[in-house]
Amino acid sequence: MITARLILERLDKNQDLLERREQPSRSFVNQFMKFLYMHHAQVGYTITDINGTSRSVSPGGTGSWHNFVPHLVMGAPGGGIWTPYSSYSVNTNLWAQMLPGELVGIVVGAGSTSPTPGDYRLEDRIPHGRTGKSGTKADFVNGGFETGNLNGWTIGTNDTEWNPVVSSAAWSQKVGSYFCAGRSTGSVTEGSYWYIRQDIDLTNVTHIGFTIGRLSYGASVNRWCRVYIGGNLVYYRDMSGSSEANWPLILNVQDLTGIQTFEVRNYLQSVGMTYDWTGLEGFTTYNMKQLEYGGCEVINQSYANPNGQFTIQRYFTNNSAVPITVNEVGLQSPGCYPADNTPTYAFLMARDVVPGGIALAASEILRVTYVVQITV
Amino acid sequence: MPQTEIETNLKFKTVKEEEIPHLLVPGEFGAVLELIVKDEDGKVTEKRVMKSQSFVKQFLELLWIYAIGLGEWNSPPYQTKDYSGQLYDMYQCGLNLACNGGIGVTYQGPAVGTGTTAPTITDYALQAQIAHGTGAGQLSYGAVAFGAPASDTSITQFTITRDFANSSGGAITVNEIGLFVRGGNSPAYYFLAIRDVISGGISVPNGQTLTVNYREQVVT
Repeated sequence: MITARLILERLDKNQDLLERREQPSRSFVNQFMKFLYMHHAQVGYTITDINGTSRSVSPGGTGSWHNFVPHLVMGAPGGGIWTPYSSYSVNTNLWAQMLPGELVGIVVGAGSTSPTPGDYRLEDRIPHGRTGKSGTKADFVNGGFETGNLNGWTIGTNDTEWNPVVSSAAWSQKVGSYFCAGRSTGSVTEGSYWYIRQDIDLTNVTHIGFTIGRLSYGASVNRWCRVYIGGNLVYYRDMSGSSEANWPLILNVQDLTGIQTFEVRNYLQSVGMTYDWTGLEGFTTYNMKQLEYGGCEVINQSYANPNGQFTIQRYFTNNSAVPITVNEVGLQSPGCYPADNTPTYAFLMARDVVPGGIALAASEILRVTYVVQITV
Repeated sequence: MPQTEIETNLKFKTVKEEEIPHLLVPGEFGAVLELIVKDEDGKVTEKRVMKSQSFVKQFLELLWIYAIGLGEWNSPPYQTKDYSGQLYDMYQCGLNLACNGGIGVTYQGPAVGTGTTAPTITDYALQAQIAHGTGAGQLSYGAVAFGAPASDTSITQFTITRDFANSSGGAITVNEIGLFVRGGNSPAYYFLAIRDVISGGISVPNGQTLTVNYREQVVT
């Protein structure tokens, strides 16, 4: 029989113990069993990743692919460090086989819904970082353009042939019925731009999210996008090319406060055709409370009949300056299809809910320990 | 590009939710051991379902090697004891925990024996493993088959199945069951992952077949 104990310890910044909870871990989930099955049976399998997408994974292939298959790995570097989880040496897809430390090993979240075997992600995972503000966040007016017009936005252009409009055309990033498009209506001169802008109170906003896209209309046309907040350039993207490409963005505005003018400005090189060339969609704000993920250790393997055990442990530091309550804890591991050299994804292996949650004040530390144990 | 290696003699079947036995409690990951004896006509002459008691050290070690991502060139290596009692360097490998043994492969997949000593965590072999064959005291080990993962509202499980046919000319009593798994690529080694002792044993008359189903399951 294999069980796991979950230990949660709240520490002050000097690592003195303030609170300790211990509970039986209840909840290895489907993905854990599917990986185990896959390696027992040595067959490929389709398993749901933490984004809810079905992924083909396999236990390996012939030859050297067997020699490192990163499945069931629960050790990880600190939250912001990207590491390759690959059975291959350096190759063209290496970047796609990397995951940040915050997606591997012990993870924590704010969700409190009871676990089920079908859980494939934490309900509300707390990301790695140190943002967080108190109070209720403001949001964009008509951030998804679902009014069917540009109400709430101030628009402008330096070329009347290159304008923002609301479009219902096909676009993979469209949410709902409409998005904002840059449309040329005649011969556009190089350096022409249009903008949309909106004043927004960022006092309780930590991040601004939206997607910019290069719509797919054949000709390769140079274009670029600039984002300004309070008149300062905060983001630049060269969007030149022909086929569709999209850039979902989350901009950190933790250090900004008060009412600020948020502006997206889209430039186009000379073009004379009438198309939607550029897409903008889903402007929204977040008050994202984050914890700094330390490295996740797999340690202390020991055996004394009738028991054997090892420990998985991670520290989470609240450097966000606001209280954060952890209600759920999970274990995540990478998974891939080694012989095909395809990207590596993260999969949820276990999920537990902490009754009542454990509240971390600013500067406090949470030490989470899973003790995996067999008993004969 | 090399192709993925897939065994050609594997069999798969779907386990219906209503067939999932609930013997574990929430939070446990374990196995349900099902033993079925059938005569030559396929008629069930005995059936037992019990909670498997005994994952042993090597299973947790191989799981730990996965969890830590121990590389082949890590120093020092981690040594695990194979079924012969020999320690071997083990590392993270996609073949670790494979138990898809073919016909007559006695150290990969479920195995049976006549030993009655209670399991301990350090067991690395069956006490007295029954050999593959048709001679006196031998059973014919079939190919290992698998039932793909299935779930109900609280349990997820899959099944590892193997038939042991008795053509020895006499009855054989099976007192212990084990699950052997592979470790490493080349060379490969084989490790005991589970050992269970069957109270009172289960008799397999000549001409009959014992089917062992290990249903590994987790209860949420």
